[in-house]
Formats: sequence, C-alpha cells, structure tokens
Amino acid sequence: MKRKKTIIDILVITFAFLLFTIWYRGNGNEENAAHTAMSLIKYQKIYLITTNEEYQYWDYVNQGATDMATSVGIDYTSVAPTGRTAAKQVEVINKAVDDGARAILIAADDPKRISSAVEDAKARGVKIIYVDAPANEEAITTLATDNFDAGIIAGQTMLSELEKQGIQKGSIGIFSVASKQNTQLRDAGFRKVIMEDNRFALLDTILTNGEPEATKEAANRLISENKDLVGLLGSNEGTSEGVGNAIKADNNRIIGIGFDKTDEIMKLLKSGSLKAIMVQNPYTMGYLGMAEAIAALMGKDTGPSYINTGITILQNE
Amino acid sequence: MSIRRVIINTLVIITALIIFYCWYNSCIKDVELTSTAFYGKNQQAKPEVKKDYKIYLITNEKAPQFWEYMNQGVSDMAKLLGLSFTWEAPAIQDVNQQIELLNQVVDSGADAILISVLSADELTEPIRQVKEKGVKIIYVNSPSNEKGIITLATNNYEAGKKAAENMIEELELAGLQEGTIGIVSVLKENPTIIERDSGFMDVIKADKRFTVLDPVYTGGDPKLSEEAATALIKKHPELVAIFGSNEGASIGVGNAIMADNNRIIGVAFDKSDATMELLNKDSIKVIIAQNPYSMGYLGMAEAYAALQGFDTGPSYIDTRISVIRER
Repeated sequence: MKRKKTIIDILVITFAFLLFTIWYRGNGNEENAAHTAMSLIKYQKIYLITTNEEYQYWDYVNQGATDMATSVGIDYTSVAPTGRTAAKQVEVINKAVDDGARAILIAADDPKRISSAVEDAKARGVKIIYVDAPANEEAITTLATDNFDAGIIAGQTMLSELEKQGIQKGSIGIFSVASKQNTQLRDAGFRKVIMEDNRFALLDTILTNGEPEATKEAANRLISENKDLVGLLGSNEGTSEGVGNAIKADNNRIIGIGFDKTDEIMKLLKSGSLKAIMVQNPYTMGYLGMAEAIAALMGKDTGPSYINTGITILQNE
Repeated sequence: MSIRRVIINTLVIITALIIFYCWYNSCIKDVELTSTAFYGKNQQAKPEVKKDYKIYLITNEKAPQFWEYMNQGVSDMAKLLGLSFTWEAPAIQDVNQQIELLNQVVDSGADAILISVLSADELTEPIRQVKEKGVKIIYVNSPSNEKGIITLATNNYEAGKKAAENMIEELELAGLQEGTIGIVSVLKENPTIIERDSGFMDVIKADKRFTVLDPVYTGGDPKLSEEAATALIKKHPELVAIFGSNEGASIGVGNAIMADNNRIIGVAFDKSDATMELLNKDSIKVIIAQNPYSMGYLGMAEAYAALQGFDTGPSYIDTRISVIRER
C-alpha cells in the first residue's frame, strides 16, 4: 500500500511540475513575441528577399547582410524569385513567413502589388525592413538611395561631361524600367536638371524590362533614328549595360551615364563607353539593414524611418 | 490522504518549481549551455576567435540623456558583435579637455574611435594625427574638418529650420504676430550648435514678423540655462518664444517658462525624460528629437566594418529627426 501511495505522490508532483513549466514557458514566449532577448537573437531566422537573382547588385546587398549576420551569428537566408515578377516575389515572401522568418529585408519589386503580402507578414509579427526599394505598406525602416537626388546628380554629371566635349545642343535619351519606382524617380530627377539647363532636348523615356540585351537593341534603334543624339542615361544596372554596349558599337560617339557598379559596367567605364557611373551603396543597405532588423527583433530603437545610403560618382579618367 | 502527505508533497512541488525557475532563468542568460536544447536548431557557429579590438566612444559630455541613448546604441551593437568598448567624455563641454582625452585613448592603443567633436576646427589637427597612426575614426553627432570613415549625424541646419518653422506655427496658433524670440544655446565652437542656431535664425529672419536675439551660451547646463532664460524673460517684456539648442538648454528654458506660468512658447531640442515631462506640462510646445541611439548603434556597426575591412559605404548618413508635439 505504501508503494502505491508513493507512486501517486510522484505522479501528483510530476503533473504539477509539468503544468507549471508549460505555463511558465508559454508566458515567456508571449513576451518573446514582442521582444527577443539579445542572448536569444541568434535563434531567430532572418530573410533577405530581392527581386531577381541575376544582378550583381543583389550580391552586394547579400554580402552586406551576410557579413552582419555572420558577425552576430544569426540564422540568415537569402532568396529571390526566378524571373522578375511581383507575383513570384509575393510567393517568395509568403513562403519565407511560412518557414518561420522573424524578420525580412525586402527589395520591393512593385510597391503596390507586394504590399498585401507585406501586410500579411506584419500581421504575423514579422519585422519588415525595406532595402533598395520600399513597398507602399509601412515598415520599420527603409535603407535606400534617395533616387530623385541621385537622378539630379546624374543629370549634373551628364551636363558636365557634355561640356567637357564642347557639346552645346542635341537630344538626350533615357532608359528606365517599367514598374520600378526607383528608376522612375531617377528619370524625374535627371529630367529636372536637363530641362532647367534648357540647351538639350529630352526624348521620351524608353521603358524596357531591364534586361541588358533588350536595352541594347532599343538603344541601337534610338541611336540610328536620332542623328542629333548626344547623351544616354541607363537608370539601373541592366539598362546601363545595354546603353554602354550600344554606345560601344557606335564607337563611343555618345556620352553614356550609368547606374551601379558591376564587372561589366566597370569595363564599359574603362573603355569610355560610359563616361560616369552613379554608384549606390548596396552593401551598406544589406549590412545596416540587417543591423536594423536585429534591433527591431530586440524591441530596440530603430531610429529614422528612412535612411538615405547615398551615392558616389565614378568617372572615366 | 493524510495532512502530512499533503504538506510533504506541496513542499516537494515548491522546491522543484524553485529549482526549475532558477535553472530556466539562468539558462536564458547563459545561452551557450542551454538554448540549443530548447530550440534545437542548427546554428552556423559564430567565429570563435575575434580580434581583441580596442574601441572608444568619445562624446561632448556624459550627463544629458542624449549621450546615454548613444552609449546604449553603441553598447548593444558591441554586445551583438562580441566587442567591448569604453565610453569617455570631458567632465564639462571643454574643447581642450576633449583633445586631451582623444590623445589619451590613442596612447592606450585605440583601434577605432567613435567621436562627437566639440569644435570642428580645433579637433581637425588632432584627428589628422590620430588617423596617421592608423586609428579608424567614425564621427557620431558632429564631425571635424578632417575626413573620417563615415559621419552619422543629424542635418543640423535643416533641424534648426524645422525648429523655427514649428515655433512660428505655434506662435500663429497662439495668435501672436509680432515680438522677440530668444535662443538659449550651448557652446560657440560646437559645430552642431552653430548649424542648428543658424538654420533657426535664417527662418525667423526670413519671416520678418519677429525679432531674434543673439544666442546666449550656457554650456548646455540646465541650471545656468534656466537662469539665462529667466533673465531674457525679465529683460524683454515683448519676448514671445525661446528656443533651447540642446537637451540641457531646453530643460532650462522649459523650467524658466514654467516659472513664468507658460506664458511663453518653448521649442526644445532632444527627447529625454525631462523634456518630455516639460512637454506634458505645456512648458515646451514642440520637441525636435534626434536619433542618438541609431548614431551609436549603426556607428558601432560601421566601426566594426572599418576594422574588418568591409565596405563602409557612404561618407555621410543623415540619421534624421522627428517632431514631437503635445496633444
């Protein structure tokens, strides 16, 4: 009989203990839903979702995010949709949330079309940081180039390059990407400067899908159709490669200004097919973006809602 | 069940719970030992051996909460990266003391210094010499004329303009169309203050309805600032508003306005417990809040990038402001 009693005792004790631990840990987790203690930050999953795997630009963003993540020791995954479509990016975002992402760095493909996916992720407690391009839905912070400003600098650079060559008139063409807000803002900043200058005619912006090959063909056509063409702007990596290669095929007769630093673009800059490039800071977007994602997970002050990561001008000399 | 059994069982349960509680809490602090067991995830191991960098944060002073927030930001990023650092500041806002401090930390073998300079001109040469020794310089809050790796700061001219615009708005709301405006400022040489005050004065002067007095410099001490603000109120019966150029000056301004029954419009710089309380009491109408935590947090990340040879990106990051108003 005594043995039976002891067994009952042990059972009661174990049961009470289990109840308590379940309650206590449940409680603890509720707090953790809002803030993660610094010591546990390493056990949180953070994702970087870019718009397209193919661009070297995203490698730099990824490298920055990786360096910060590795230094802190956090679980980090980088994914991108294959092919540049908003619908595919939405799928990738939803999958990251299902896979347990606690924070996501997103470069928005289309500010409108991915907003609902971002809203859903936020509703599930996921912290969102935009890098390079924000969606309409509000997030913790955005680390990006002030693209209108960058366009103004590109316009000023175009004018000074034309002046160096003694060119006082002619027409200028712009290549931009449909559905990409950042290239459109650069376009607007660029136009403002050229228009205020009043000496050059601005052609209608040509929208491409951002692929170098398609841009090159369109630029070739533009060059042959406009005999007075003196300058071309590529407003992102793909269009700059296309513009540079078309200018190269035309014996570097036309002034090319581009955006972003890649091996291919650096070659075009060296050979004079591009006279200057506007270099953004994708590494910093990833590096400090990851730092801000971690701050958000810890419930710390994430500071400004927008960080302009700036640009620098690289010139052919 | 006998009473004795119940008591013994209860005691055993309580003891077990206490032991569990202690163990669980200690395991939260001591992740290395236990969290893998809890979360059972595979981790890419954190690089075990990290170079023992000597990193310093040198601020204008220590007392205002502004610097505490900055120090907290630096400290949080340092802990995340497994680095240690030391926070130093002159006892009062004194340029020579800051130069001395800078040289001291360099002598003790600093690898990187996050610094907010008290004078752009006077710190330029000392910083140049420090750079020659290979020390990485990250400017937080205010840079010297010598180039650093990066500057993380408020655009103070724009922030000063924003303060003035908000003051004019408040004056209009109060139905005031004329009068004199005072400035309780900090230190003449301080580059952030020079920018902030000139942005403020440019907007007020352009408005033409109000007269702005020359700034009174109090070193950012709340007590001295209060005395200065009280003196302004007494001397200028037509005074309608006062701007405080930093946290300490703003606390003084707010207290002087409170003693004057909130008759005058106060606009403050920097968010702290004290300025927020003055805002709630209506002795301050608007606070221009900077982001000192981000300057420190992101600044430390950039210092680490510089030490590791990573890309440090732009030469300047505007950490921006927000405007806090009473409701």
